[in-house]
This record gives sequence, structure tokens and C-alpha cells, in this order.
Amino acid sequence: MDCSLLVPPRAGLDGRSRYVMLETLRAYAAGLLAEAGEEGDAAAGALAGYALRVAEDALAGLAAGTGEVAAARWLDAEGATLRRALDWALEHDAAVDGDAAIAPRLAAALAWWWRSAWADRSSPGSPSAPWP
Amino acid sequence: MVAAVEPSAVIDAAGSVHGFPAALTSFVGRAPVVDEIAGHLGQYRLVTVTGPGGAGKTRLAGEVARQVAGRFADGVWLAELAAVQDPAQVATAVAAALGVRELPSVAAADALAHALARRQLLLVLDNCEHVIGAAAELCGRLLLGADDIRVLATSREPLQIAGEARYRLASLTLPDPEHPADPGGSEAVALFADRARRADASFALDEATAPLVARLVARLDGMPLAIELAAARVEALGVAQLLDRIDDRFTLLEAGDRLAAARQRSLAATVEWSYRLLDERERRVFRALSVLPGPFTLEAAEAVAGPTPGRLCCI
Repeated sequence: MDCSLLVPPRAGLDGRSRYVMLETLRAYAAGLLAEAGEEGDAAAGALAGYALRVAEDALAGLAAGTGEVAAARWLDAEGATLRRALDWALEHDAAVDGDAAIAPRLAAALAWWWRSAWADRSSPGSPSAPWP
Repeated sequence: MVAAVEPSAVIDAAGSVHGFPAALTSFVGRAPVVDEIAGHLGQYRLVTVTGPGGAGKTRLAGEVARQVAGRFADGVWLAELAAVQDPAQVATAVAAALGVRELPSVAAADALAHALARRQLLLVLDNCEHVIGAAAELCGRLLLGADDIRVLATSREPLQIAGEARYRLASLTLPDPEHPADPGGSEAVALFADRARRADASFALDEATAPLVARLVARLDGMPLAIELAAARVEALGVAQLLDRIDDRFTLLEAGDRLAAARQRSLAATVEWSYRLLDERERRVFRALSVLPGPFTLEAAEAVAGPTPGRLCCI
């Protein structure tokens, strides 16, 4: 693997492999993207579409009974992306391929995750914490 | 000669490290720095490593974490703040990294302080600079409320709270300019040689290349990230051409930007230079990936940047 601008992928808490771009390089690329106009809008829209797919797939996994923990771990690992996508969608009221606006669909798909977080997190240091 | 120390594979049983990426490359030089910061952590409850972007703060913090993990019964935990945009989310991000669950009615900082009150651990807050006020406030709250925790922060600026020990990370040591042909002992040269060998197995530090490498790393102000970016191109260009190209690039940039600190400028120039070596499609991919705020899967990369068969490896 010969990455110079990316750190090769490693497995996250949800078992999926993820690449890392060092913050210094990401900030440089973000500056270029901001100057690129439409390209930036397209990337942000694509991010929102991706976030929606993740949220809805996780919800579907939940319904199929593949496990709440696995679904929650996945969303936890994608948390920063989900948050950014929701922020962007709320400002742009975007639609995916002419479908309904993203923000409400995203919020609906994530509701169980937020609620489970509130419920599980009611006692700090409960078994959900990674230490005994 | 500076030794390239392989990252310690075995963590002391007393503590473990959580959230740190596996080190894929050896950690070159800076052994005395790691020792010194580890020492500070024995003495002070908050140590902040400061330095410009690309100085190697994050990697250093990981090495320190591995070294001191044995002292903390509940281990060392990394909270990466780079992806946090809203200062109000700092405590939430730290809570998530620690697996501490929040109550909607309780501020995340309070839930954290409560959860950590009886823990003995080291919390590493990486990349604090863009949310410095919130990071400082949270640190203050946690250090007051949880007697047995310590914090290692990395940031371009200090947190500026009481009891903070600051460590300003210097550049890697450069070769003696009087003896450029004998770069032994320079951390910057050792790092370049190590990474160049990874890019090109036939690379050797010899009479021909040593003086060039010495000039190159001096030109890059001993900045680790800049040196790594340059070394990654050694196979395609060779050291002599690498030095020429970087010289050209720097002359151009220096003319336009006299106020920026030298180290910052060398990094900016090297980043830009690396970017220019990508082809047009790779550049598009690199730009698009910047919308992803944190670590990303291949699926996420393809969603924002289009299909990238094999392309991610080239970037």
C-alpha cells in the first residue's frame, strides 16, 4: 500500500476498515474544495446521500434483527459524518435524486439511535462503558 | 546514528491503549522527547504538546501513550477532536470516545466527570486548536472532578488553564551544516532515509545521497510531515531531482508569503507540491475526500469522490 496523503485503512470499533487523512492535509484539501465552487456542493450533497444510506441501512439491519449493538456501533463510528450531513441537509433542504428532502428522512432513520443513546446513557459508567 | 524504534507491540498489562491507530511505520528519533513528556505526565496532571500542523504531535502522543499506559489502571484513551466542528460538541465527542453514555438532562461534561471520578486513566485530547476554549473548559472540569485522571493534549496553541505543563515540540534535529556529508545523528535524515526505503527498497544513504538528503531536510525545516511527503516521491524522482523541484516550489511560495512562520511555510509548500504531483482525477478525489470529517470507509470515499478503483492507494 503506497499512500502518501492517506493513512492506510485500519478497522474501527464497528469492525469496518477506514482510511484516515491527517487533519493538516484535510484542511488543505477542504480549502481547495471551497474554491472549486460547484464541486464542493456536489461533494457535500453526496456526503448527505451517503449518510442517509448508512442511517437507513442501519435501521433496516435493526429491523432484520441483526443486532442493535452492531447497528449502534456502526452509527457511532460514522457519527461525525452523520452530524455533518444533517447540518448540511438542514441548511440546504436537499433532495436525493428527486426524493424527499434528506433532513427529515435522516432524522427519522436516526431516531432509534439517539433514543437508545439517551436510555442507555442514563447511568454513567453503566455496562455500556467499555470498562467493567 | 538515530535508531528507528519499532512501536512497542506489547502493552504493559497494567493498562491498555484505546482508540489509537496501529502504528504502521516505525517511530524515528525523538526518543528523548517521548521520555521527557512521559516524565512530565508523572509530575503534572495536564501536559499540552504544542507545535504547528505537521510537526508530528499526534504521532508523538501515541508513542507517549504506549510508553505510559502501564501506569494507568484504566488505560489510556484517545479522543480525536479534529472532526468536531462545534465547540458545544467537544464534551459529547470525548464522552463517545470513552464509551460514557449521557443523559439528555445532564450536560455531557458532568456525565463525564461523574463517570471518570473513580477512574485512573490518561485521556489524550488530540487536535484541540480549533475548539480550544471548549477543550480547556472541559479539561478544567474533569481535572477538578476526577482526582485520578491525567490529560495529554495536542494543540497548535496551549490550553491556557492553571496547572498546564506545556511542551513546545521542536523540529527534528538537522545535520550539522558544516558537515553535510555526515548526517549521522540527525533525526530528520533518519526519518527521510526510513521512509525513502519504504518507497524504494533500493534507496541507500551513501556518499552521493547523504549531502542531498541533508540539504533537503534542512530545506523542509525538519518538519516530519513534509519529510514524509517528500520521501514518498523518491522512487519516481530520485533525491537530486526531489531537491531541485522542492527548491523551485519554495522560491515561488516564499515570494508570496513572507509573514508565515518558516516551518508552516515549508509544510504548506510540500503539501502543495505533493498535490501537484497527482493527476487531475486523483486531485479531484483528494479534494472531495475533505468533506469527510473523520476516518472513512472505501464506500464513503466512493460516494463523495466517485468510483476510485485503486485510486485511493495512489493518493
